[in-house]
Amino acid sequence: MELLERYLAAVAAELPVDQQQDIIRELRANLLDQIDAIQQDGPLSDAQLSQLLLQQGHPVDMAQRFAPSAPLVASEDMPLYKTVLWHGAALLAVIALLKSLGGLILADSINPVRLFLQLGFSFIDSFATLLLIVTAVFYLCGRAGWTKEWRQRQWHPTRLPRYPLARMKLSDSITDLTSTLFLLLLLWTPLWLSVEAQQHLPVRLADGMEHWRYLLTFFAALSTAFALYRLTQLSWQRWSKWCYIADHLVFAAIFAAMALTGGVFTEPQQISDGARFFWTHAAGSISYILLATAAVLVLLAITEYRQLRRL
Amino acid sequence: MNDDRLDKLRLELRRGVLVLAVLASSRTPQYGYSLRKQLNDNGIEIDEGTLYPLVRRLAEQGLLDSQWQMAEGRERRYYQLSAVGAEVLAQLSAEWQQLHGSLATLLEQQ
Repeated sequence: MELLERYLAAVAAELPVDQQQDIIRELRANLLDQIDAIQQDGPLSDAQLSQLLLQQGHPVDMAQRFAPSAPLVASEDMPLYKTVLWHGAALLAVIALLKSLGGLILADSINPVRLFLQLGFSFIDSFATLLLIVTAVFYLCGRAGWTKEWRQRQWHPTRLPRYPLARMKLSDSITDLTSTLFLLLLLWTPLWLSVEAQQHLPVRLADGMEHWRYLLTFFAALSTAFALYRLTQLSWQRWSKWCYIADHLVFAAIFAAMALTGGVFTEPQQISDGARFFWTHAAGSISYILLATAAVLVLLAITEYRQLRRL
Repeated sequence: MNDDRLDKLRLELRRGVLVLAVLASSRTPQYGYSLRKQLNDNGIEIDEGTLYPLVRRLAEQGLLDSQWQMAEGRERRYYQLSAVGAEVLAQLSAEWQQLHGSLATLLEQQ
């Protein structure tokens, strides 16, 4: 009978504390009945008892059948959960890379192994926090029934897109949201970078060019709000497609204007060797990067316009 | 089709009617082992690991009443159909009869 008690103790260990006593009491009674049935043919051997307990299944499985644990994220919410995590991870990877490059500029010497480890640990550290927060949000929203309510509110046959092209992809909306949040992070480094690190950034806005920061912040905030709105929609409407095209063109115009204005960016207050190298050899590339970004946005706007004509 | 897949399909097919079988068997007071034996004797094989948690769940849903009693020198938890359980059993039985009739027609067509 010692085996029986060991089995019950193992099951109890896997049960919620408030249900342990009651479930184990009942399981013991049931198993004793089965043992009684076996003993009608003769004394119970350890081998028979072992066989009986093996039939019951692993203590963890048995405990799960009595008190199934609810998953942290419901299976219906998994697609959205995974999309949010993937995009969050991409954003964090870029931030970790920027931080590591910032550290590289400050460093006296370059150690590739140290750089790689710093990048890896910085990413893992921030991703663990993201995972915790996103899982907690999905768990709490799932328990409150908000995720189901959100899906139900979105869904109606008349809101389904008429054509495949009109389908609003959730991943696209989250990508746009991630991009605008990243832009806001870049614009507002004073809010999340130390003063020392800011002084050593390879580029900063030149004096008298602060209006670009506010202009970009205004449109990035609008773009963020629009991306959030699109998360609640299933299909494109003509007006929302027009807004999306305008969003691309506004940013293209701003980036092009910044590139053509010149003198928008300047060297840091405390210039390091890395930053000096950048400003000596590659400062002109900022304008080209801005122009290339503007060109890509115009191309995207043209693609969207073509889709709009087919809606 | 291999045996594993057939077993899984068979389990799925039986899972739905187990509730009906347990409720029908609980018109008279039953404890875990006696219930399993009764089901087995009537050709419904069910392992303990499935039956005991199912019975508890039905009790938690108010379909079965339960109470601990001393019998043969040991305590046992007896389950019996509650008033709500009797109503549900009647509805499920009607549903089963209708389903059985429809299925029989479908199967005869083959």
